[in-house]
Amino acid sequence: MWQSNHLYALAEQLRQTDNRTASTSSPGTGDDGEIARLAARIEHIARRLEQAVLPTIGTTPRTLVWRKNKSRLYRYACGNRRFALPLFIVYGLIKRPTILDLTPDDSLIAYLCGAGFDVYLLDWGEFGPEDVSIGLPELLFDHLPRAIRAMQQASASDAFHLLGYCMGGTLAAVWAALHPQAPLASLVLIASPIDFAEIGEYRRWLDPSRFDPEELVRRVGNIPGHWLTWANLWLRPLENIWTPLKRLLVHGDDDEYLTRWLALNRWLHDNVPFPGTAFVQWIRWFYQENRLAAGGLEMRCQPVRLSNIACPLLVFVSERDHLVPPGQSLSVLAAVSSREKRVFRAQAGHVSLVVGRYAREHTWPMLREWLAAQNRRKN
Amino acid sequence: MAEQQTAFALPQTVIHLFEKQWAAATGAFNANDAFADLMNAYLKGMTQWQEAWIKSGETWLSLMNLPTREDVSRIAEHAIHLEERIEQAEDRLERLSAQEARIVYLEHELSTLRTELAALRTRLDDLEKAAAEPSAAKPAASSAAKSRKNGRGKNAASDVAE
Repeated sequence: MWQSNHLYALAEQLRQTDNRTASTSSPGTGDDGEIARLAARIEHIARRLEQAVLPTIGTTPRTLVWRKNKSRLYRYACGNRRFALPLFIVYGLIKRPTILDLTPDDSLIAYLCGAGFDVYLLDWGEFGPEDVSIGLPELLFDHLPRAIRAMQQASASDAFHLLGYCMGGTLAAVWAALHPQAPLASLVLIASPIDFAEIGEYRRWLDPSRFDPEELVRRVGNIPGHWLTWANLWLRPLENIWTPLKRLLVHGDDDEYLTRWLALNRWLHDNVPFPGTAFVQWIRWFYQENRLAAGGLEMRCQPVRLSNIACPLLVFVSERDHLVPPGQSLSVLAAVSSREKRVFRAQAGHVSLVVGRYAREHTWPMLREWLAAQNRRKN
Repeated sequence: MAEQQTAFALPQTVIHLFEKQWAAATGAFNANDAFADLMNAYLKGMTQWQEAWIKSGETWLSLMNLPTREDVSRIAEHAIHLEERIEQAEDRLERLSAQEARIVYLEHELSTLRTELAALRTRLDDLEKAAAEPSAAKPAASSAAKSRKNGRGKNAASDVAE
């Protein structure tokens, strides 16, 4: 979002304001050149941004295991596989899954591979206008089971761990509820919305009396990804738009910080369209009618009952997550019939739960320990 | 924080004030029905314009006898449906080949059982022949053969049942 040309414009704006103030104010009441210095700093950071090499994201070596339409299942190279049970990661339909493999130093997937797990990632891909009729049942009945079967064949193991991040967690939970006989070693939900009773400002914005997803999809087809990004950013405009710029201005001289900032910014604005029909179902069934938590969700005439989930469950929530507040995820604990349930409450945000220093120090080790323990138990 | 102060000493105070005021203002702005209505009205207007733009583009392309986006999408949709049908056929084939493998296994088992049954019959016939031969111990042998025959009959039946 913040690019060097924006920063140059901002610096110029500040200079003009400073000049106007200087010409109208009386001597001795100025800011001692602070605004001019700030403008110079902004220009300096803009030059650094221009010179910086754009980091490539999603660099962990991987092989394509399965494909269908735009969806791809990747297997990540694991040097020394120590655990027999593979880990299947489901990502959502909003943005690309590169956030889980951002840079070599900041990659949850690379970390788990290094720990000896056989990691698979289902990337739904970039849907085109021809995919407007693809709905959530198609993804959950036609795509996901086949990808899981391909993973089982590739890893030579029937049992597996299922992990979902954000909307991917909701899809994983729905799939697990629809398949109570699936050989799930454990289910891990990271910042995944389950109960849509507590959705903050979205309650007002998406109220059925004013927001009609069918009408929107009829007009534009698939929903452009940047619309969703802006809607999410606008939930907390100051924190999401202004704070990253402020941090860049403060830490912009640090090469490592700059690389990480650029990588995250690149992911943030690397959007994919949300398939139209799936969008209507996502908004209607989940946001407006809260069918999953209320128990009225049906897919292809099969009721989705969270109580069917009986495998060990680990739920990650972030205290500072305004996209998926903790309450939205935690209600899954009461709904499932799993005997073993654990919650990890992170002092982080929605994204910093999976990337960044906090994730490296807390989330990742916790996840590794859980998976390893469940692996031992299953064996 | 210390870094922030060295980076901008005076502006930091301004920035804090700005942040505080704007956070409160945007929070109040967002938590407002009027804002939600405004946003939806904007979205409706924008999508109406977008729809009109797309439609005029499609009309122009069809007038020029060129494939429209809808035409291309339709072809792609057919390809996707075809892929789905191929996958369904593959799944069915997989299930059939699994069933076929089971049938081959059962056939093999059946032929083994037939061979074993034939061997048993031959052995029984041999024993009956041996029992029928005149000998000194005929009465004893015949009663023994009779009892064995009954027993074997039962065993043979249970073998087949197995």
